[in-house]
Amino acid sequence: MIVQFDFLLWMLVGVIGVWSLPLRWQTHVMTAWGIAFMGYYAPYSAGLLAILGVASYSFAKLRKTAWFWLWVALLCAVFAVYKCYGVREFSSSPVHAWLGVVFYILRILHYNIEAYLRRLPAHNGCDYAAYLFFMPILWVGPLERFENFQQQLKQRHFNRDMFSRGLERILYGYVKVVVLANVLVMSYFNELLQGLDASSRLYAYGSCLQYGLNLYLQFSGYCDVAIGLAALLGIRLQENFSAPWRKTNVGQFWQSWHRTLSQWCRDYVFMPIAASTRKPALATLAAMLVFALWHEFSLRYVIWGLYQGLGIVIWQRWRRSCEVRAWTFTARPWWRICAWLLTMHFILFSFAWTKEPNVRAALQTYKHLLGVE
Amino acid sequence: MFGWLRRYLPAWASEIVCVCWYACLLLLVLMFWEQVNHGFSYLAL
Repeated sequence: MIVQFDFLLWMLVGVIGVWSLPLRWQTHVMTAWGIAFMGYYAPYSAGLLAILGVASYSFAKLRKTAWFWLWVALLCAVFAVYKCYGVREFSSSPVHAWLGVVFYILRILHYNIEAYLRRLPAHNGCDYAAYLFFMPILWVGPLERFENFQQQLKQRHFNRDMFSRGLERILYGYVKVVVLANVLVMSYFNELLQGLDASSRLYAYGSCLQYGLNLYLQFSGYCDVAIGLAALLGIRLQENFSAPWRKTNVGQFWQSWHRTLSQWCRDYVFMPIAASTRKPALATLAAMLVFALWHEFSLRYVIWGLYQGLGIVIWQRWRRSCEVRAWTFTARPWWRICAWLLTMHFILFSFAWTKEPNVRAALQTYKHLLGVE
Repeated sequence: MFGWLRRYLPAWASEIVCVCWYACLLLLVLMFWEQVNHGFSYLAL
Protein backbone atom coordinates (compact mmCIF):
# COMPACT_ATOMS: atom_id res chain seq x y z
CA MET A 1 0.00 0.00 0.00
CA ILE A 2 2.72 2.49 0.91
CA VAL A 3 4.54 1.49 -2.27
CA GLN A 4 2.12 3.39 -4.50
CA PHE A 5 2.64 6.87 -5.89
CA ASP A 6 -0.83 7.98 -4.80
CA PHE A 7 0.16 7.20 -1.20
CA LEU A 8 3.14 9.55 -1.55
CA LEU A 9 0.74 12.16 -2.89
CA TRP A 10 -1.51 11.71 0.17
CA MET A 11 1.52 12.25 2.42
CA LEU A 12 2.69 15.32 0.51
CA VAL A 13 -0.73 16.98 0.36
CA GLY A 14 -1.40 16.23 4.04
CA VAL A 15 1.89 17.58 5.37
CA ILE A 16 1.82 20.74 3.22
CA GLY A 17 -1.88 21.26 3.97
CA VAL A 18 -1.42 20.97 7.74
CA TRP A 19 1.60 23.28 8.06
CA SER A 20 0.25 25.92 5.66
CA LEU A 21 -2.67 26.65 8.00
CA PRO A 22 -2.75 28.47 11.36
CA LEU A 23 -2.03 26.23 14.38
CA ARG A 24 -5.63 26.34 15.68
CA TRP A 25 -6.92 24.73 12.47
CA GLN A 26 -4.24 22.09 12.15
CA THR A 27 -5.75 19.43 14.42
CA HIS A 28 -9.06 19.60 12.52
CA VAL A 29 -7.27 19.42 9.18
CA MET A 30 -5.32 16.36 10.34
CA THR A 31 -8.59 14.67 11.36
CA ALA A 32 -10.24 15.55 8.04
CA TRP A 33 -7.17 14.27 6.21
CA GLY A 34 -7.37 10.94 8.09
CA ILE A 35 -11.10 10.61 7.35
CA ALA A 36 -10.55 11.39 3.65
CA PHE A 37 -7.64 8.93 3.45
CA MET A 38 -9.60 6.15 5.15
CA GLY A 39 -12.71 6.92 3.09
CA TYR A 40 -10.67 6.68 -0.10
CA TYR A 41 -8.78 3.45 0.64
CA ALA A 42 -11.18 1.67 2.99
CA PRO A 43 -14.68 3.17 2.99
CA TYR A 44 -16.32 0.37 5.03
CA SER A 45 -13.58 0.53 7.61
CA ALA A 46 -13.90 4.33 7.83
CA GLY A 47 -17.66 4.02 8.38
CA LEU A 48 -17.20 1.39 11.10
CA LEU A 49 -14.50 3.47 12.78
CA ALA A 50 -16.78 6.54 12.79
CA ILE A 51 -19.68 4.58 14.33
CA LEU A 52 -17.48 2.88 16.95
CA GLY A 53 -15.73 6.18 17.70
CA VAL A 54 -18.97 8.06 18.41
CA ALA A 55 -20.32 5.14 20.48
CA SER A 56 -17.09 4.75 22.47
CA TYR A 57 -16.96 8.47 23.27
CA SER A 58 -20.57 8.32 24.48
CA PHE A 59 -19.94 5.18 26.58
CA ALA A 60 -16.81 6.77 28.07
CA LYS A 61 -18.95 9.68 29.27
CA LEU A 62 -21.42 7.33 31.03
CA ARG A 63 -18.82 5.81 33.40
CA LYS A 64 -21.23 3.14 34.62
CA THR A 65 -19.89 -0.35 35.28
CA ALA A 66 -22.71 -2.18 33.49
CA TRP A 67 -22.46 0.04 30.39
CA PHE A 68 -18.70 -0.30 30.39
CA TRP A 69 -18.80 -4.10 30.36
CA LEU A 70 -21.58 -4.10 27.79
CA TRP A 71 -19.47 -1.90 25.52
CA VAL A 72 -16.33 -4.01 26.01
CA ALA A 73 -18.34 -7.15 25.19
CA LEU A 74 -19.76 -5.45 22.10
CA LEU A 75 -16.30 -4.41 20.88
CA CYS A 76 -14.97 -7.92 21.45
CA ALA A 77 -17.95 -9.29 19.51
CA VAL A 78 -17.27 -6.89 16.59
CA PHE A 79 -13.64 -7.99 16.65
CA ALA A 80 -14.60 -11.68 16.71
CA VAL A 81 -17.14 -11.29 13.89
CA TYR A 82 -14.56 -9.46 11.80
CA LYS A 83 -11.94 -12.13 12.49
CA CYS A 84 -14.34 -14.98 11.67
CA TYR A 85 -16.00 -13.50 8.58
CA GLY A 86 -14.54 -10.12 7.63
CA VAL A 87 -10.97 -11.17 6.87
CA ARG A 88 -12.08 -14.03 4.62
CA GLU A 89 -14.68 -11.92 2.82
CA PHE A 90 -12.87 -8.68 2.30
CA SER A 91 -9.09 -9.02 2.59
CA SER A 92 -8.75 -9.72 -1.14
CA SER A 93 -10.56 -6.49 -2.01
CA PRO A 94 -8.39 -4.07 -3.99
CA VAL A 95 -9.46 -1.14 -1.82
CA HIS A 96 -8.43 -2.85 1.46
CA ALA A 97 -12.08 -2.54 2.52
CA TRP A 98 -11.44 -3.25 6.21
CA LEU A 99 -8.00 -1.74 6.55
CA GLY A 100 -6.86 -1.17 10.13
CA VAL A 101 -9.90 -2.67 11.95
CA VAL A 102 -7.83 -4.83 14.30
CA PHE A 103 -5.66 -1.85 15.20
CA TYR A 104 -8.37 0.70 15.91
CA ILE A 105 -10.55 -1.70 17.92
CA LEU A 106 -7.63 -2.15 20.35
CA ARG A 107 -7.12 1.64 20.49
CA ILE A 108 -10.84 2.14 21.24
CA LEU A 109 -10.73 -0.57 23.93
CA HIS A 110 -7.68 1.13 25.47
CA TYR A 111 -9.50 4.49 25.46
CA ASN A 112 -12.64 3.09 27.13
CA ILE A 113 -10.72 1.10 29.76
CA GLU A 114 -8.62 4.13 30.68
CA ALA A 115 -11.72 6.36 30.71
CA TYR A 116 -13.52 3.88 32.98
CA LEU A 117 -10.53 3.83 35.36
CA ARG A 118 -10.51 7.67 35.24
CA ARG A 119 -6.91 7.75 34.09
CA LEU A 120 -7.39 9.91 30.99
CA PRO A 121 -6.42 13.58 30.93
CA ALA A 122 -9.14 16.19 30.25
CA HIS A 123 -10.04 16.20 26.56
CA ASN A 124 -12.89 16.83 24.15
CA GLY A 125 -14.44 15.02 21.19
CA CYS A 126 -12.12 16.74 18.68
CA ASP A 127 -9.04 15.38 20.51
CA TYR A 128 -10.52 11.90 20.42
CA ALA A 129 -11.45 12.18 16.73
CA ALA A 130 -7.90 13.36 15.96
CA TYR A 131 -6.57 10.31 17.84
CA LEU A 132 -8.86 7.85 16.05
CA PHE A 133 -8.34 9.27 12.56
CA PHE A 134 -4.65 10.16 12.83
CA MET A 135 -3.59 9.11 9.34
CA PRO A 136 -0.05 7.72 10.00
CA ILE A 137 -1.30 5.11 12.49
CA LEU A 138 -4.44 4.06 10.64
CA TRP A 139 -3.06 1.18 8.60
CA VAL A 140 -0.58 -0.80 10.77
CA GLY A 141 -0.19 1.11 14.00
CA PRO A 142 1.77 1.60 16.24
CA LEU A 143 -1.00 1.20 18.83
CA GLU A 144 -0.46 4.66 20.24
CA ARG A 145 -1.81 5.43 23.72
CA PHE A 146 -4.36 8.25 23.91
CA GLU A 147 -2.65 10.19 26.72
CA ASN A 148 0.68 10.19 24.87
CA PHE A 149 -0.99 11.27 21.63
CA GLN A 150 -2.92 14.07 23.30
CA GLN A 151 0.19 15.38 25.02
CA GLN A 152 2.03 15.38 21.69
CA LEU A 153 -0.93 17.10 20.02
CA LYS A 154 -0.83 19.90 22.59
CA GLN A 155 2.93 20.39 22.43
CA ARG A 156 3.38 20.11 18.67
CA HIS A 157 5.03 22.90 16.72
CA PHE A 158 7.17 23.05 13.60
CA ASN A 159 10.65 21.76 14.45
CA ARG A 160 13.23 21.61 11.66
CA ASP A 161 15.28 18.92 13.34
CA MET A 162 12.27 16.69 13.92
CA PHE A 163 11.08 17.26 10.35
CA SER A 164 14.47 16.23 9.00
CA ARG A 165 14.53 13.11 11.20
CA GLY A 166 11.03 12.28 9.98
CA LEU A 167 12.15 12.42 6.33
CA GLU A 168 15.15 10.24 7.16
CA ARG A 169 12.92 7.73 8.96
CA ILE A 170 10.54 7.53 6.01
CA LEU A 171 13.46 6.88 3.65
CA TYR A 172 14.78 4.10 5.90
CA GLY A 173 11.29 2.61 6.06
CA TYR A 174 11.07 2.51 2.27
CA VAL A 175 14.58 1.00 2.01
CA LYS A 176 13.49 -1.78 4.40
CA VAL A 177 10.23 -2.50 2.57
CA VAL A 178 11.31 -2.05 -1.05
CA VAL A 179 14.99 -2.98 -1.17
CA LEU A 180 15.66 -5.28 1.77
CA ALA A 181 12.33 -7.12 2.14
CA ASN A 182 10.98 -7.27 -1.39
CA VAL A 183 14.18 -7.44 -3.41
CA LEU A 184 16.80 -9.10 -1.18
CA VAL A 185 14.62 -11.40 0.92
CA MET A 186 11.62 -12.18 -1.27
CA SER A 187 13.39 -12.23 -4.65
CA TYR A 188 17.12 -13.04 -4.34
CA PHE A 189 16.85 -15.18 -1.20
CA ASN A 190 13.86 -16.91 -2.75
CA GLU A 191 15.91 -17.84 -5.82
CA LEU A 192 18.50 -19.45 -3.52
CA LEU A 193 15.76 -21.42 -1.77
CA GLN A 194 14.28 -22.64 -5.05
CA GLY A 195 17.57 -24.37 -5.81
CA LEU A 196 17.15 -26.61 -2.75
CA ASP A 197 15.17 -29.80 -2.25
CA ALA A 198 11.81 -28.74 -0.75
CA SER A 199 11.86 -31.61 1.75
CA SER A 200 15.37 -30.94 3.00
CA ARG A 201 16.30 -29.58 6.42
CA LEU A 202 18.12 -26.65 4.86
CA TYR A 203 15.05 -25.61 2.84
CA ALA A 204 12.79 -25.74 5.94
CA TYR A 205 15.33 -23.69 7.92
CA GLY A 206 15.79 -21.22 5.06
CA SER A 207 12.05 -20.76 4.53
CA CYS A 208 11.53 -20.01 8.28
CA LEU A 209 14.42 -17.52 8.10
CA GLN A 210 13.00 -15.92 4.96
CA TYR A 211 9.55 -15.56 6.53
CA GLY A 212 10.99 -14.03 9.73
CA LEU A 213 13.24 -11.57 7.89
CA ASN A 214 10.48 -10.51 5.53
CA LEU A 215 8.00 -10.03 8.40
CA TYR A 216 10.45 -7.99 10.44
CA LEU A 217 11.63 -5.81 7.54
CA GLN A 218 8.13 -5.19 6.17
CA PHE A 219 6.49 -4.49 9.52
CA SER A 220 9.29 -2.37 10.95
CA GLY A 221 9.57 -0.59 7.57
CA TYR A 222 5.85 0.27 7.61
CA CYS A 223 6.20 1.46 11.21
CA ASP A 224 9.22 3.60 10.23
CA VAL A 225 7.12 5.29 7.54
CA ALA A 226 4.28 5.85 10.04
CA ILE A 227 6.61 7.22 12.74
CA GLY A 228 8.44 9.38 10.18
CA LEU A 229 5.20 10.77 8.76
CA ALA A 230 3.95 11.59 12.27
CA ALA A 231 7.27 13.36 12.95
CA LEU A 232 6.71 15.49 9.82
CA LEU A 233 3.49 16.61 11.52
CA GLY A 234 5.30 17.33 14.79
CA ILE A 235 4.09 14.21 16.66
CA ARG A 236 6.48 11.72 18.23
CA LEU A 237 4.91 8.25 18.22
CA GLN A 238 5.92 5.29 20.38
CA GLU A 239 8.48 2.94 18.88
CA ASN A 240 7.18 -0.48 17.82
CA PHE A 241 10.54 -2.25 17.51
CA SER A 242 13.79 -1.89 19.43
CA ALA A 243 16.32 -4.25 17.84
CA PRO A 244 14.49 -7.53 18.63
CA TRP A 245 17.11 -9.55 16.76
CA ARG A 246 19.75 -8.64 19.34
CA LYS A 247 17.88 -9.95 22.38
CA THR A 248 19.20 -12.83 24.42
CA ASN A 249 15.95 -14.11 25.93
CA VAL A 250 12.40 -14.58 24.78
CA GLY A 251 10.98 -12.16 27.40
CA GLN A 252 13.13 -9.32 26.11
CA PHE A 253 12.33 -10.31 22.55
CA TRP A 254 8.59 -9.80 23.09
CA GLN A 255 9.25 -6.48 24.80
CA SER A 256 10.99 -5.28 21.65
CA TRP A 257 8.89 -6.82 18.86
CA HIS A 258 5.53 -5.14 18.17
CA ARG A 259 6.05 -3.38 21.49
CA THR A 260 2.81 -1.44 21.48
CA LEU A 261 0.73 -4.63 21.14
CA SER A 262 2.86 -6.36 23.81
CA GLN A 263 2.25 -3.39 26.13
CA TRP A 264 -1.50 -3.51 25.38
CA CYS A 265 -1.59 -7.24 26.27
CA ARG A 266 0.51 -6.58 29.39
CA ASP A 267 -1.76 -3.76 30.62
CA TYR A 268 -5.16 -5.23 29.79
CA VAL A 269 -4.64 -9.01 29.93
CA PHE A 270 -1.51 -9.90 31.93
CA MET A 271 -1.87 -7.35 34.78
CA PRO A 272 -5.57 -7.98 35.63
CA ILE A 273 -5.14 -11.78 35.52
CA ALA A 274 -1.87 -11.72 37.48
CA ALA A 275 -3.41 -9.37 40.08
CA SER A 276 -6.57 -11.42 40.55
CA THR A 277 -5.10 -14.95 40.45
CA ARG A 278 -1.55 -14.32 41.76
CA LYS A 279 -0.38 -16.73 39.05
CA PRO A 280 2.00 -14.89 36.70
CA ALA A 281 2.55 -18.01 34.57
CA LEU A 282 -1.17 -18.28 33.87
CA ALA A 283 -1.33 -14.55 33.12
CA THR A 284 1.62 -14.86 30.72
CA LEU A 285 -0.04 -17.73 28.85
CA ALA A 286 -3.33 -15.79 28.64
CA ALA A 287 -1.56 -12.64 27.39
CA MET A 288 0.31 -14.54 24.69
CA LEU A 289 -2.89 -16.34 23.70
CA VAL A 290 -4.66 -12.99 23.23
CA PHE A 291 -1.58 -11.73 21.37
CA ALA A 292 -1.85 -14.73 19.04
CA LEU A 293 -5.63 -14.62 18.58
CA TRP A 294 -5.39 -10.94 17.68
CA HIS A 295 -3.48 -12.10 14.60
CA GLU A 296 -5.87 -14.86 13.59
CA PHE A 297 -8.61 -17.05 15.07
CA SER A 298 -7.14 -20.46 14.24
CA LEU A 299 -5.65 -23.54 15.85
CA ARG A 300 -2.18 -22.82 14.48
CA TYR A 301 -2.16 -19.39 16.14
CA VAL A 302 -3.45 -20.87 19.42
CA ILE A 303 -0.52 -23.31 19.35
CA TRP A 304 1.85 -20.47 18.40
CA GLY A 305 0.62 -18.32 21.32
CA LEU A 306 0.99 -21.18 23.83
CA TYR A 307 4.45 -21.97 22.40
CA GLN A 308 5.56 -18.36 22.99
CA GLY A 309 3.84 -18.20 26.39
CA LEU A 310 5.52 -21.42 27.54
CA GLY A 311 8.85 -20.09 26.29
CA ILE A 312 8.46 -16.96 28.42
CA VAL A 313 7.34 -18.96 31.49
CA ILE A 314 10.33 -21.33 31.19
CA TRP A 315 12.67 -18.36 30.79
CA GLN A 316 11.17 -16.66 33.89
CA ARG A 317 11.67 -19.85 35.95
CA TRP A 318 15.23 -20.14 34.68
CA ARG A 319 15.99 -16.51 35.59
CA ARG A 320 14.61 -17.06 39.10
CA SER A 321 16.78 -20.18 39.53
CA CYS A 322 19.84 -18.20 38.45
CA GLU A 323 19.04 -15.49 41.00
CA VAL A 324 18.38 -17.97 43.82
CA ARG A 325 21.56 -19.93 43.15
CA ALA A 326 23.56 -16.74 42.49
CA TRP A 327 24.90 -18.10 39.21
CA THR A 328 27.22 -15.57 37.60
CA PHE A 329 28.14 -17.39 34.40
CA THR A 330 25.02 -15.93 32.69
CA ALA A 331 26.87 -12.59 32.42
CA ARG A 332 29.81 -14.14 30.56
CA PRO A 333 30.16 -13.44 26.81
CA TRP A 334 30.11 -17.15 25.79
CA TRP A 335 26.83 -17.62 27.66
CA ARG A 336 25.30 -14.53 26.07
CA ILE A 337 26.18 -15.85 22.61
CA CYS A 338 24.58 -19.21 23.45
CA ALA A 339 21.49 -17.45 24.88
CA TRP A 340 21.20 -15.30 21.74
CA LEU A 341 21.44 -18.36 19.46
CA LEU A 342 18.86 -20.22 21.56
CA THR A 343 16.44 -17.25 21.59
CA MET A 344 16.74 -16.62 17.86
CA HIS A 345 16.15 -20.28 17.03
CA PHE A 346 13.23 -20.49 19.43
CA ILE A 347 11.62 -17.56 17.57
CA LEU A 348 12.73 -18.78 14.14
CA PHE A 349 11.19 -22.22 14.60
CA SER A 350 7.95 -20.65 15.87
CA PHE A 351 7.49 -19.14 12.40
CA ALA A 352 6.72 -22.65 11.13
CA TRP A 353 3.27 -22.21 12.74
CA THR A 354 2.53 -18.80 11.27
CA LYS A 355 4.03 -19.13 7.81
CA GLU A 356 2.10 -22.27 6.93
CA PRO A 357 -1.63 -22.18 6.19
CA ASN A 358 -2.57 -24.95 8.66
CA VAL A 359 -1.33 -27.18 11.49
CA ARG A 360 -0.67 -30.13 9.18
CA ALA A 361 1.69 -28.11 6.96
CA ALA A 362 3.41 -26.65 10.04
CA LEU A 363 4.02 -30.14 11.43
CA GLN A 364 5.43 -31.13 8.05
CA THR A 365 7.89 -28.22 8.29
CA TYR A 366 8.93 -29.40 11.77
CA LYS A 367 9.45 -32.92 10.38
CA HIS A 368 11.72 -31.46 7.70
CA LEU A 369 13.57 -29.37 10.27
CA LEU A 370 14.19 -32.46 12.41
CA GLY A 371 15.00 -34.60 9.38
CA VAL A 372 12.13 -37.02 10.13
CA GLU A 373 10.43 -38.67 7.14
CA MET B 1 22.96 10.56 11.67
CA PHE B 2 26.36 11.61 10.34
CA GLY B 3 27.33 13.92 13.20
CA TRP B 4 30.18 11.55 14.16
CA LEU B 5 31.77 12.11 10.73
CA ARG B 6 32.57 15.71 11.64
CA ARG B 7 35.20 14.44 14.06
CA TYR B 8 37.17 13.03 11.14
CA LEU B 9 36.20 15.21 8.17
CA PRO B 10 35.64 18.92 7.57
CA ALA B 11 32.00 20.02 7.74
CA TRP B 12 31.64 20.43 3.96
CA ALA B 13 33.00 16.90 3.34
CA SER B 14 30.66 15.29 5.86
CA GLU B 15 27.75 17.17 4.25
CA ILE B 16 28.71 15.69 0.87
CA VAL B 17 28.93 12.16 2.35
CA CYS B 18 25.53 12.67 3.95
CA VAL B 19 23.88 13.87 0.71
CA CYS B 20 25.46 11.00 -1.27
CA TRP B 21 24.22 8.44 1.26
CA TYR B 22 20.61 9.66 1.09
CA ALA B 23 20.78 9.99 -2.71
CA CYS B 24 21.99 6.37 -3.00
CA LEU B 25 19.22 5.09 -0.76
CA LEU B 26 16.61 7.07 -2.67
CA LEU B 27 17.96 5.78 -5.95
CA LEU B 28 17.82 2.18 -4.69
CA VAL B 29 14.21 2.63 -3.60
CA LEU B 30 13.21 4.18 -6.94
CA MET B 31 15.07 1.49 -8.89
CA PHE B 32 13.13 -1.33 -7.26
CA TRP B 33 9.84 0.50 -6.71
CA GLU B 34 8.10 -1.21 -9.63
CA GLN B 35 9.29 -4.66 -8.55
CA VAL B 36 7.33 -4.64 -5.31
CA ASN B 37 4.64 -7.25 -5.73
CA HIS B 38 4.39 -8.94 -2.37
CA GLY B 39 1.53 -7.98 -0.08
CA PHE B 40 2.20 -7.21 3.53
CA SER B 41 0.39 -9.69 5.77
CA TYR B 42 -0.40 -7.18 8.54
CA LEU B 43 -2.56 -5.16 6.12
CA ALA B 44 -4.87 -8.16 5.72
CA LEU B 45 -5.32 -8.67 9.46
